[in-house]
Amino acid sequence: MSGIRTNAAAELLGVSPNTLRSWERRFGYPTPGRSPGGHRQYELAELEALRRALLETHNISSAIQVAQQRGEGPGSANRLLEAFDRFDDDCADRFMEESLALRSIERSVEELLLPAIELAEERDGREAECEFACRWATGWLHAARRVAPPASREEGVLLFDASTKLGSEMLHVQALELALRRAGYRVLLLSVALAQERVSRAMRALDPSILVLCGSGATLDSVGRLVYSVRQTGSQAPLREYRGSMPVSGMHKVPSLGDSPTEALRRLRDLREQPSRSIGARAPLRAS
Amino acid sequence: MTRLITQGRDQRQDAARFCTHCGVVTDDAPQRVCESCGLGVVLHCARDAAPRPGASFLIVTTDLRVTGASAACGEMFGETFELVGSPLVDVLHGDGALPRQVARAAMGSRKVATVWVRTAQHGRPFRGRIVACGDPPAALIVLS
Repeated sequence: MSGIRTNAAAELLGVSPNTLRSWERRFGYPTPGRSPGGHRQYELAELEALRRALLETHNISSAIQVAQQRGEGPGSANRLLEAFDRFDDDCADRFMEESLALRSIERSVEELLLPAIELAEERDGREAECEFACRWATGWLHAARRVAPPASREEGVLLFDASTKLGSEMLHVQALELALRRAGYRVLLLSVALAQERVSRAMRALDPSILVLCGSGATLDSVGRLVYSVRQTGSQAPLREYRGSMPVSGMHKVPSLGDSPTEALRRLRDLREQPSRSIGARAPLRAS
Repeated sequence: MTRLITQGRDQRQDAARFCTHCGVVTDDAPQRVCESCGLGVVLHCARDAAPRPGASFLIVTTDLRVTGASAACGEMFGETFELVGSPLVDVLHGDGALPRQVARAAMGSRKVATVWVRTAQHGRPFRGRIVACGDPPAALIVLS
């Protein structure tokens, strides 16, 4: 609590102290804390958000709504969404840069970028904004991937992406790929619909220690063909799914890597410490 | 060049500032929020088109959505907070030129247009004066 007194807060906003108190009664915002002596103490972030919103709107209730939705500081997904709504990639870049000053790339992606994309996707009639957001996010993740350090681990991770359209699920897969690369894994991201001989060449090149099925849109048929292709190469690498990508409801025998990149990294580390156990693997079915 | 500067000075002198809630007009109001009621944002518009205190008026943006309504609009349309965010066509009906005139004013046209409109809810006729206002840029529709 930064503890700005009523008079100073009112001066910051260009209103009288009575007006500020009447907003609190009428709209419930800004919401001051109380000093031990019972005086109101306002947060600077709330006042700044409200001051900015007042310049951009035509009435007080809208300004208060905007200030509440934007939240405070650089960490808000709503602020990034606002940049998407203006088709302003410079502004979106700046919000991410501000976030990177406070937290890691992984946390910025999980707490800012992906929630903003999900918010953009939930709205009706904003398809253009949503597509812009997804394309911008794809570019941002690719740029971050280019500056990821080279692989420092022996283990390779082969990701099979079942996403069929540009959207949050596809971006979740790209975010997972980025997190794995930054953690030092050798990573290859391929489509789940690849032909068998191409999967074989990729398997030989990477020699993965784990296979991950991710993205929504896989069918049981495509997953079955994929696992068959992989086992044909003699690989015993265990199969995992990410974010519920297995196209079945209820129980299935493919363990999950979780719903977020950091959770996936943690589970991969746990897996490494466990004795090797091949999930969904059978004896190699090499053609004679 | 001299003529352009003179015009600019004249425009500033002709601008009036009004509250989007109570409609009180102030000549010199550097603050953003109305000192009189504390519930409206202070915008500027052409002096001869400024609403009178207590007048009914709407603020409409270029995407033809209502973003502000004066307190007096409550008598015509019901709760003003329900108006905010509504498409203009759901609030007012007019002839085919209404959306064009509103959009033109919201984009900063200096022309003042007068139209006949009806409230979408009750069909009551009103004379509407459409003029540019801001900032941020919008159209002011004063109903009388």
